[in-house]
Amino acid sequence: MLLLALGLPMVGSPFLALAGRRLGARVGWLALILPVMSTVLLGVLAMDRSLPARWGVELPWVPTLGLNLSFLVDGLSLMFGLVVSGMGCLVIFHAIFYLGTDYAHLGRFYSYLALFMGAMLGTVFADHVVLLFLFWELTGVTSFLLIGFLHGEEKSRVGARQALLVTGSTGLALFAGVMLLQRATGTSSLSVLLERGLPWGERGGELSLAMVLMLVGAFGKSAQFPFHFWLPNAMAAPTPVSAYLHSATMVKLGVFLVARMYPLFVVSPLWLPLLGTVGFTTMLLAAVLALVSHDLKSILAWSTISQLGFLIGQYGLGPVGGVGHDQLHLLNHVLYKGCLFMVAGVAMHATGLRDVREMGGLFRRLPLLGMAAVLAGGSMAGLPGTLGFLGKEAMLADLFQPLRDGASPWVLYAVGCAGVASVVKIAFSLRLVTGVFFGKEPDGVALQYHAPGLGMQLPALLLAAGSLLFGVWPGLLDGLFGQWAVEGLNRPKPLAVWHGWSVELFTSAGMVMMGVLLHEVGRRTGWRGWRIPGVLQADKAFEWLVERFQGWTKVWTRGLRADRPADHLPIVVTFVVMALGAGLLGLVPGLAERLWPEDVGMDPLRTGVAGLIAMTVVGVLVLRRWTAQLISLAVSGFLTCFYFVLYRAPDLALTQILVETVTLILVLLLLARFPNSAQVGEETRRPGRWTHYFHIGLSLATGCVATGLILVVTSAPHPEPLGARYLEQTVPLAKGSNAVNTLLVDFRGFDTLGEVTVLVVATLGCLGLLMRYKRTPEETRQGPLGPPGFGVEEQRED
Amino acid sequence: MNWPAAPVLLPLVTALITLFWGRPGMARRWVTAFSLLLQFAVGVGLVMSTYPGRVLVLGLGAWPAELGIVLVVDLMSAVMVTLTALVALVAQVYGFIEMRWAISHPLRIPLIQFLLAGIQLTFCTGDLFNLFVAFEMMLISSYALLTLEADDWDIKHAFPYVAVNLFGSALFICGCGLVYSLFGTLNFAGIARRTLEMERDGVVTLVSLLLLLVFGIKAGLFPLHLWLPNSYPTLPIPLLALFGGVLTKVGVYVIIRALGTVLPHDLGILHAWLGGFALVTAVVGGIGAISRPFIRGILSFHIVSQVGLMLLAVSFMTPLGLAAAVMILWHNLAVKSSLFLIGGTAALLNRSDDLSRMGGLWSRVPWLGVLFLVQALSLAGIPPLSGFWGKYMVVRAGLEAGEHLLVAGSIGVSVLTLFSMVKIWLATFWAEPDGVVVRVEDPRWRRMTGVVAVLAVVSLAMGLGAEGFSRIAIEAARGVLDQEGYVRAVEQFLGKTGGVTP
Amino acid sequence: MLGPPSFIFRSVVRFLFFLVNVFALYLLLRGHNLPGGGFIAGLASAISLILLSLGIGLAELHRVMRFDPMRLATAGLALALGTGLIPVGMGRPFLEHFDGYLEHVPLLGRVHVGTPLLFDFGVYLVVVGITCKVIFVLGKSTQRLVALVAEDAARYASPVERPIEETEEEGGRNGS
Repeated sequence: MLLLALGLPMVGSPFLALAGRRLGARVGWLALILPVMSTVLLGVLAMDRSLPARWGVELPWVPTLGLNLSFLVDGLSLMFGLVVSGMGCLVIFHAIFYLGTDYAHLGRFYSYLALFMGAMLGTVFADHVVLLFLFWELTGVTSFLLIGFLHGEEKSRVGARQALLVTGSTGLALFAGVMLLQRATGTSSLSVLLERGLPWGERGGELSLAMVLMLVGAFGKSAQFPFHFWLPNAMAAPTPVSAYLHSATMVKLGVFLVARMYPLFVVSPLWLPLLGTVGFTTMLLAAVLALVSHDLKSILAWSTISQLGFLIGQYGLGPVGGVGHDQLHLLNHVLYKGCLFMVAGVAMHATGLRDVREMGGLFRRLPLLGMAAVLAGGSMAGLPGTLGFLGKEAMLADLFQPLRDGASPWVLYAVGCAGVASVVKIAFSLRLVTGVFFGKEPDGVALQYHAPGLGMQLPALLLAAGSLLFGVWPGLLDGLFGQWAVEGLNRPKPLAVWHGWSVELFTSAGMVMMGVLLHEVGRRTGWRGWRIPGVLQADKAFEWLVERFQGWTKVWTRGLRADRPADHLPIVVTFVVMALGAGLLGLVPGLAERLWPEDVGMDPLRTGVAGLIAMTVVGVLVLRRWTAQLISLAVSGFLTCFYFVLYRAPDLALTQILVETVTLILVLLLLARFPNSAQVGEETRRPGRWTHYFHIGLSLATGCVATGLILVVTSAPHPEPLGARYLEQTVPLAKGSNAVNTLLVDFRGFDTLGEVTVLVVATLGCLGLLMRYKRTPEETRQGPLGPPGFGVEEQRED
Repeated sequence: MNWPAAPVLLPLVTALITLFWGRPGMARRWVTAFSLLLQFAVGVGLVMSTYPGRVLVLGLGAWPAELGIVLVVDLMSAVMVTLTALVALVAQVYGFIEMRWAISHPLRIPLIQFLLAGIQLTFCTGDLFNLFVAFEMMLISSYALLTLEADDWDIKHAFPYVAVNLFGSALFICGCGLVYSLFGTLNFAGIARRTLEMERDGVVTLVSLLLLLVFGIKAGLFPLHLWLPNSYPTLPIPLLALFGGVLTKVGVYVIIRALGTVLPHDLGILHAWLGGFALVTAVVGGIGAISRPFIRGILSFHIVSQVGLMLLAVSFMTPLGLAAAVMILWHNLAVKSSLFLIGGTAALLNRSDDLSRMGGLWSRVPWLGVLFLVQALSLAGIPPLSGFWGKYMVVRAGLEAGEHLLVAGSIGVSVLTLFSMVKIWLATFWAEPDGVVVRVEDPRWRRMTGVVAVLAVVSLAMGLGAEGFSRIAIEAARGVLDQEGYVRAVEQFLGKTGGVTP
Repeated sequence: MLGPPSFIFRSVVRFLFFLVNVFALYLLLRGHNLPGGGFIAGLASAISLILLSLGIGLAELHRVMRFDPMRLATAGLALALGTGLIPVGMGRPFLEHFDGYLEHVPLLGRVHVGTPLLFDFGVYLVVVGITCKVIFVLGKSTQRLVALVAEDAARYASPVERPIEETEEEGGRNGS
């Protein structure tokens, strides 16, 4: 049943894309089936009290690499699973009305959405840590596709790229962490780890590293400082996507991961400092940024980040054994933020506006939606009567508790940040609700207004109602939270609307007053000058970095001489010579004796011939006229032939003579065919003086290294070379007395076949070159696919 | 008994047939396609008969390994043969679609077959000098193909390819001579046996270094890679797919074979050296890819990066590490070549592959986009696609070998890959600039997409069916590392002398 | 560089052509036992052909020889390959060679023959073919024998370049 719930969206996704062509906008209704089925199935599982608190399913997938489709079901995964699939129903329902028929390619849209949902469910239910990473990355990819759904717009593309790069690279940190964890503990099953605990004693270092890496992954996904900047840009996606991915589900994966890790890693001394600072810093920073933003969705995005910061931070503060109210905070956020996103979506849909400053007075036109917004905004601000109020009370209680127990600097920092952030939060909640729904109606609204349907508003109303219901009657939740409590993670306390005249209540009231005050200041100034200061525009900085990075890569690549064909061979040769030279010096024992063996037998005749060859070769280099060079070259060839004769190798000598002859003819013909290139106007450049010296030095070094290699290696030849064997066997086995020929034709005939093939191919190549199609200058300029040049400027090679 | 020679002989015969045929025509194309299909089938047959761990040996001319040349096909070679034939088939058919026969170059088909013969011989041979011959066949065909349809500008950039590889060949022949002097034989099994038996000093390491440099040139190891990124983009698309997908991988294959089967396993310094340079190669390749503003350039530079990753895995010299390298190698064969073909199709639709002059493909030709997405994400190592499994195994092998730095580097390189893939995706598929036309009315793109889909299906199967894929890779890596088994199998071939030389 | 050849030169060249080819044949046949063999013989023959081309002129040679030397090379390669494939048909390893004795050959009596000779002959053909081809092609274009060059171009050059652009107009045709 679990597998069905997870698999359905995945399997159904491609069909949606296909069905989209035929059904058009109606494909949404088809898509709705998937999350509804998943929700029902998960709901049945959640209600089934006969199941143990933690159980699993395993399907073999890649057992060779120790990776199976193993899933873990406990309170945490069930709760997240229900949130994901439940929100999936609402969002798709909302989307059907929101998107209507205005957009193209709706099939693709629902297909991404379903795939995303499947990946999300996979992540939260994964038991194998690598499987968790696998689904984790899949959510990132689908989110990339969803953000870029309106890909005609530059903003969408940039937002999508930013999201993918940030979550993708932090995802890799998670991967590294997960692999380290696997390596350190010897198992990769979360359920086994939860049972056994971690071997902090033996492999503490590795585990700490793994923890930090995994947390980096979580921070990236949940848009925590310093990766916070991608989320607001991801709001370029259609609003239902934002509501679903970027507030209710995907960004909560970081929180989910932290919760998963909590029972295992909370004992680490790094836990509190890392989570506390990152979480609460994000909370404060994002809250402030939310207040100074004006775009409706940006405000919501920043507020989401702020709340995520708090969720992560509260795990940091939590004591060993479990935190009290994480489930409450989570549910609370899902309810009000999902609602607000949908409200915002409806409002934007109805007016065509995005800026809060340009909106207002919508309550009269949309009273139901206004009610929902008031409830959800109240919940966000933590006003009594909503679930948010309980959340705020619980938060304050949790913050004050460690303060009473004796405060560490981390806790003080956390309390400070949370306090200020809460005040700011009340201010922007107020602003959001009053800015859109109350006050005077600007002309822009009246101009563009068209009434949204009830279906679009329905999900938001439902969520708001939930917020109200649970806020008034929290007892409903106690049972659920108790059932979903995970050992080592949750210690749910009973919830009540009224706690008495406690410190928390007074603090809360004080905060509300300060928040209202702050909002009033803003309103009086007309929000002029309230904008995100340049220093904090990390997304801009990131984009700048990305663009500059591309520039740098060009500089670096050019620095490596990739674009100078003339330099390639010298670099390669230099490297080879250096490597081999270093090898000669470093690897060979007794180098000197091997290079200068005692008994060098010098045959005067052979030495003389060798000397003559050397002279002719030098002649080729030194002589000025090409005729003289050619003759010198030919002489060296014939001398080599003589050298073979001295070693009694008639076959070689004969071949050498003939090859030499043919080559000479060929060279003469070539010279006749291709006259001096200078005559036909080709530019010839003489290399500079230093290049020249470098080439001479490189050639000498190559010669020395080659000589050294030959001397060293041949100084101790193998005692039983095969050559002798061939000489013995040529008559008895190959029935021929010319050992060279039997070797060529019989013993190693295949090599000859290959070389003969090479000859044929080389000729074909020559023909291809000689018969080359000559392009017109215009064609040459344009090249076969667009203009030539690798996008880097052509450089003079001098 | 002659099956190990079949992958080499088939393309040779096909090349001769198509050469005799002379003028191009439809019939010639059918013959070629049929032959490639046959080569693929032979490859599949070889895989089935070598799995798990059987070694097929053929002494050419019925000589025992000692005297003649042996062809040795184990699982590793067999899979390489199969994938190469598949890529060649797809690239060739793509080429057929791209150009009507009446206007295609008459020498292209035979030259590709000669190239294939060389490549397949590289995979099948069990003899160092024969390997040299195979390299020559392969290289000379590639030079010919590189200059066949090139203009002056192309030739200028293709020149380093020829020059550097000629230098590599010269170095290789020196290496052959030195190996013969050192071991007295050129047979892989013979060298392996003698390295196991004889007392070794630094000279063996030195000669191994020389061989590694030679193969490094072919594979594109930094800084020997310079010839690659600018010369490849001058090729026509189908050839580019074949070169980019297969040719550099030959170098990697040979390094795996040499380090795993032929040379001794305790060349510690050399392996560390290889690991370091491999990491630099991966990074340089990734950075270079980002610096290129056109698809062919990005993908060509990427080859370097991927080669670095493979060699990095090789340098661990553990069974798992080698299996990881093998896995990336195979995945890359399928993915890389199909990416080139997809890029080519996109360029055909936009009439340019300059990223700034492309766009609008996602809304017009989604199927092509899906293919690209699958292959690009696979290349970037996004799970559960085929590239991920290689990465997963590299990281595991690296952690087991305690090479934390290399592991971190290999993970970091994925970001670079992702970046350049996203760059292509945004510019080609998502962006919709004014003035860029998508010529969907050109009928060729549909057929091209259909052909490329074959490779995409293969890579998807590798990813989702990772169980079978990884098991084959692990078996193949074990086979490569099993020197004694290799020697034994080769020596069991008796030939007409009955194994004993009187 | 290549002026009109004199009568004496032409006669000498014709005589030399036969002489060198007989020598080449001898080299080829004795190759298995004494210095010689297909490669050397091929080079010798090629040189003789080149001499002939200098003597009687390329156009004349082309008229006499009628076939493309490249065919010779291809045939040689096919012969070498085919020799290797004989044993494959018999279920023996590729490239295995067989030999035997021919009794009662006129003049020579008992002759030792074997498939290595066939293989060697293939090598011979390849070497002759490719050497001549390259040198003749260069010669033709140097001597501006336009018709002959065009004939080669029809066989070895691409009819058109730039595939994508070319069929662009084709697409246009289809569309119209």
